[in-house]
Amino acid sequence: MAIDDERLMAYADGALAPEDAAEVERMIAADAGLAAKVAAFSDSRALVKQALGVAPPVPDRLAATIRAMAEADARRQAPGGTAQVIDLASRRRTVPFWQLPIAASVALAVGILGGWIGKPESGGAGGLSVALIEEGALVDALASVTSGERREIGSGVGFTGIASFRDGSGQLCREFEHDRAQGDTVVAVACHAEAGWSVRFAVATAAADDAAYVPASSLDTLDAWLTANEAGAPLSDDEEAAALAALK
Amino acid sequence: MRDSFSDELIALLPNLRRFALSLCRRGDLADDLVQITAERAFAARDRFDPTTRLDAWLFRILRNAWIDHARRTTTQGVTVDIVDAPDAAVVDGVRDMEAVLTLRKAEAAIAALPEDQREVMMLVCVDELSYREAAEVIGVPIGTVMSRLARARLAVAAKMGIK
Repeated sequence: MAIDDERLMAYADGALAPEDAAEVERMIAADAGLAAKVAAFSDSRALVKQALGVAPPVPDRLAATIRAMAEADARRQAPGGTAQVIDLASRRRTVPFWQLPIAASVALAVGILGGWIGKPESGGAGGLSVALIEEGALVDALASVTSGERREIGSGVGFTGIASFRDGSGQLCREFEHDRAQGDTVVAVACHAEAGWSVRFAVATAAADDAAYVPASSLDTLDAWLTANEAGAPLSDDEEAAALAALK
Repeated sequence: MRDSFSDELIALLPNLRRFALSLCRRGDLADDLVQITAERAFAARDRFDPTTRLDAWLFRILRNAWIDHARRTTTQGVTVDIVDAPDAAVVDGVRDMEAVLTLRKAEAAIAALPEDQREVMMLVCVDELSYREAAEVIGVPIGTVMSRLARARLAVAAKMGIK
């Protein structure tokens, strides 16, 4: 009977049930090639652990930043603590390098917070028309474009799914960017409640010349919002697919 | 006063940064990823299940942060060239140069692996997660973890001349 590499590896790692392991042992005893392979699995693991097992020291500045976060967290956790207050100072961090080339600042905090999408009374002008997106198309995109995917949802208008997560109240939220061929990129978060999707956060950013990504200051604003709303970790692709399917 | 969640998180910072380095291979970006991970972890700490491993939960957050970053920067072209190699082998003078060279060679072999194989290698062989825990961090079936890991280990063994 053939034995696959995964099973030999699991044997080498001691991850097989005793009866499985005994069977593998019998096969190894009869085949020097298999025994050599088990040794290769064991040796490679030991070698990798030896080579990378000692983690390099954490830079002092990073460690200090995170200790400050822990202190701020302790104040929030404390009885009578300021649970709803974001300690902005402790959150402020150095601008990640990948955002450095863009000096643009937040051009406009768009006044569409809380505007319901797709509800007639919200009106075309008051809702997402600020962002020049046709609402039906946006609702469709929120329900179907997966994170990491970009789709044209109007003439020259793009929708890029960034991430899906649940906020502190358990609502499904989607972070996305939309962009136009000329003009601003808007980074936004929409959450789904019983009444439908509503845009909970949006910042427009001055358009970059050649790269459709968003300047640092906007992302700091977004980070602050995410923290204030107790945003959970991004859903995996599978979780996102299941969450979106559940809305249908 | 800090509590055990914070203390454990802080104690895991070197492991988080090492995992971040294995994903992005840049010290500055790795630091950013660790910081984002800590922010998200504190914000979502109520959702951590204390019967599970904190490191596995944090690795998952970190990995998601990395994916977010990669998605945002697809238009930039990725610049990956500087390997901030962990200084694993600390030597006293020239003691056992050969062992050091072996470890350097192993590091190079690991660095040469495809990203999906390298991350399972890190999670299982270095951070000692189980196959199942690694599968949960990555969000793939356990069989996928095992096949990637087996390929990675055989590739490293071959490069190191282990038969």
